[in-house]
Amino acid sequence: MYRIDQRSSVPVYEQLIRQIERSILSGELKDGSRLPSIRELASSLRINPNTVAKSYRQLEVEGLVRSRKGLGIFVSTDEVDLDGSRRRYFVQLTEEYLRKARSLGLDDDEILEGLSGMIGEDG
Amino acid sequence: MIRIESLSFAYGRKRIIRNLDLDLRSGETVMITGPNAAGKSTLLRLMAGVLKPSEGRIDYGFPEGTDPRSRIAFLPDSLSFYGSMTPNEVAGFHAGFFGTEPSGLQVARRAGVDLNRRIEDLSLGQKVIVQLSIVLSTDPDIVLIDEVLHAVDPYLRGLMFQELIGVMEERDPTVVMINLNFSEVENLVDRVIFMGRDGVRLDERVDDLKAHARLLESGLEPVDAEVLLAREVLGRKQFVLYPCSGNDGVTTVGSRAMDLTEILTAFMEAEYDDRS
Repeated sequence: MYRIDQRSSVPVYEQLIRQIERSILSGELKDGSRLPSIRELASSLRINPNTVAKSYRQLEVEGLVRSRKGLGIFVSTDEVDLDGSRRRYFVQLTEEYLRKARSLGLDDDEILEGLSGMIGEDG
Repeated sequence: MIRIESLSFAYGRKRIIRNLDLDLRSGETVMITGPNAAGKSTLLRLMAGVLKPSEGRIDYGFPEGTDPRSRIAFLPDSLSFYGSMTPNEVAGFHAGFFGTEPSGLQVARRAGVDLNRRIEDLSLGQKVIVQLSIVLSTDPDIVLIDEVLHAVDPYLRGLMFQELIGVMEERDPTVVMINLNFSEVENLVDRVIFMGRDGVRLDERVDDLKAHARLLESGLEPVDAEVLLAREVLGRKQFVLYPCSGNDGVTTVGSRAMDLTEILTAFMEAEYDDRS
């Protein structure tokens, strides 16, 4: 379900947060569904349980999940602004794209040009 | 916290560990790696209390009067003891010796080991499973695992990691593992200590280490960067940059992040380059 990119310089707990956020934003994980337990997820991905716990804590702070004592951790989107989160995710994706495009040595005009050309083709 | 102070160890006149200082936070998961004969296993045995230091000391931070060995799960690289006993007998013996509950040997049972067969008649992998099963069942505060997993097939290794992760989740022990197969524990460890022949060569948190190492394979010469290693691959120059900030535009053009295996392989190469 989730995948860790070893070559990424993004820390593992953040990769996990982003992937869970994405599944929630895309509707793949619905309001009220239970996330795997810390032990289950840590075992299946072979990652440190503290890392999973850290991701879950952060998701809880963001208001995307809620832990219920003894029952587990559940997706809870009733109080969050999903559109706001979608926009923030879009900004993240765009930043990532820009960083990669710039690392190829493209300047901003070239990046814009390439992008609008593609959108034109797409639409 | 475990505090290791000015630790030295010698076999006769041969110095294996020289004046080592190290602090391990409690709950931390640490990988020790490095070339052969760097003293990794010796350090682990010293931490396990199986060897006595020639100089220096290890403070485990346990309450006064605690025998550290009763709080430590140690999986050594030599598993030859208790050869004529069965796993069930060893579990009982171990429990008596350490004053802990007898092990249920659940992992070993799940791995299909016959618990009434003599240990010397088990395969190497099964011996490792039995021993791990016993030491992890003692509710340890500290888990020390030497490089023994290579003897175990991938399925059983998976079981062992599950068991270890379970203990980590339940008790949050300090874990120190010696590993030469980096990718297997890449996301399990918080911190890497690379022991070279002349002592600790690298000691960094994994996240920081990954942020500080980059591979330049564009063929360009690095500018303003610390070069850990220069090598030629398929006729093309490659540079492993360490430490570098990663945000530094000059050093990062044409360079990429590296996974832990690549980084530590580079340290290993650099270690052998220095010797030749």
